[in-house]
Amino acid sequence: MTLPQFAFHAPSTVDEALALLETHGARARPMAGGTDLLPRLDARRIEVDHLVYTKRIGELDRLAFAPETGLHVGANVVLADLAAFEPVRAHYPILVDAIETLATPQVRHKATMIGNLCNASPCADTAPPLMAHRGTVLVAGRSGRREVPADAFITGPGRTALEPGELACAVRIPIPPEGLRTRFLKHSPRSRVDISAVSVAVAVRLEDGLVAQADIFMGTVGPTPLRAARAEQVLLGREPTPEHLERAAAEASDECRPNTDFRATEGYKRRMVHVLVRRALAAVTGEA
Amino acid sequence: MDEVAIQLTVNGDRYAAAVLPRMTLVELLRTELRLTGTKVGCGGGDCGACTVFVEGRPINACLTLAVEVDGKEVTTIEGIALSGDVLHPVQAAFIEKGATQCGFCTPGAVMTAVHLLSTEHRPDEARIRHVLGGNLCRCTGYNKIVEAIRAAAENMRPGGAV
Repeated sequence: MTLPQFAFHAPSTVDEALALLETHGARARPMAGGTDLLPRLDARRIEVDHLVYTKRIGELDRLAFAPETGLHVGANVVLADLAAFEPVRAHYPILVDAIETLATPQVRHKATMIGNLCNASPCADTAPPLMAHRGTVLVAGRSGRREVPADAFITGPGRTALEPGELACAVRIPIPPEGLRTRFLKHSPRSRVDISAVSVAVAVRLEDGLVAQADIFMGTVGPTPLRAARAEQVLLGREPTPEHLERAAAEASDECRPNTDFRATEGYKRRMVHVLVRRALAAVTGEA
Repeated sequence: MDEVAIQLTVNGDRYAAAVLPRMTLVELLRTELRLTGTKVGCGGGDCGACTVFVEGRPINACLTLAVEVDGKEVTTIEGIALSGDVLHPVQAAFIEKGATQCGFCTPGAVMTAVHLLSTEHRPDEARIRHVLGGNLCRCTGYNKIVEAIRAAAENMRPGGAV
């Protein structure tokens, strides 16, 4: 279908972009890769009079890693480059796992992590790994810059913590603490190129044989990616015995809030949360 | 609505155009530049029939605005043959192995395969199938496409040299 008409703006700085967003208000949207925005525009699910293209803003191209500060992923960084970046492969492998099953190679050469988060689908594949790693989203607005924890950024289906006129500029992920083990598992009807029916990201760290850190996030089984808080409480301060892992998985299955859709029924998704959480926890606590 | 002036290079040829912001790259290629080798399948970035290279990277032209490629180099299926007479090894292998039935997915699949073989030396079948995930084919069942890509890889040197 032919896209609706809109004006195209290509600012060179974040401040110029913010000015455009403020001037045009709710009728303006930023775009980097556009791989979610353009199909939604085409389907007339959203209306945009002013497209604020961010790819000419050099500051947003930055992809950098430092051992003290961790990873910085600018809004323009495409997923293919992020997954190929050596420090990401070394320190955040679950991000690579999530990206490599997201959409298609062609889309991954254009789509961005910021876009995936701002689109705010419950199925956003980069969200559970980012949340498990305690990442943050750097936001710019008229009153300055602020940092939003990733697990507070997506507030509902298609909704984020961005205030009107704000621009999400980058994702920051801290250096993983020593001994952190992570796993991302995604389950979907098709073997590839499918939105997940269920996804799970876990990050666990043991100290003296007891669970000192457990961050468990579930995708696609609620209105937003969800923290399995009760499952985490089962594990914290305890030995990761098969019984405790099983109980944690059962809690996660109970506390998720899936719906029935064309990919799977609610009951199946709940069952798969149980399986994937147990499998992921076993992987990060049991194997060498 | 104002048109935007853009300049782009397609298969080595320079073009200037005045486009509405809403025009997609696939519309520009097909209707303005008459390069109809690139197909529209789903129009939504799922099927890969519209796969072209922008700055050497395969993307969906249906998910790209024409204004995005201002100042950039685009390669389409029309630019893949080595010369007027000599096909790219991938194209030759598709013909030899019978990897085309209706032909609609073929330009996109060839683009994906050319990029894969230019960046990876002799990828195995699992890797080929993974990378082909963004090119849907309703006719062939993919097996002949995979065979063709493996055969083409044998005819290319490391680094993608032909």
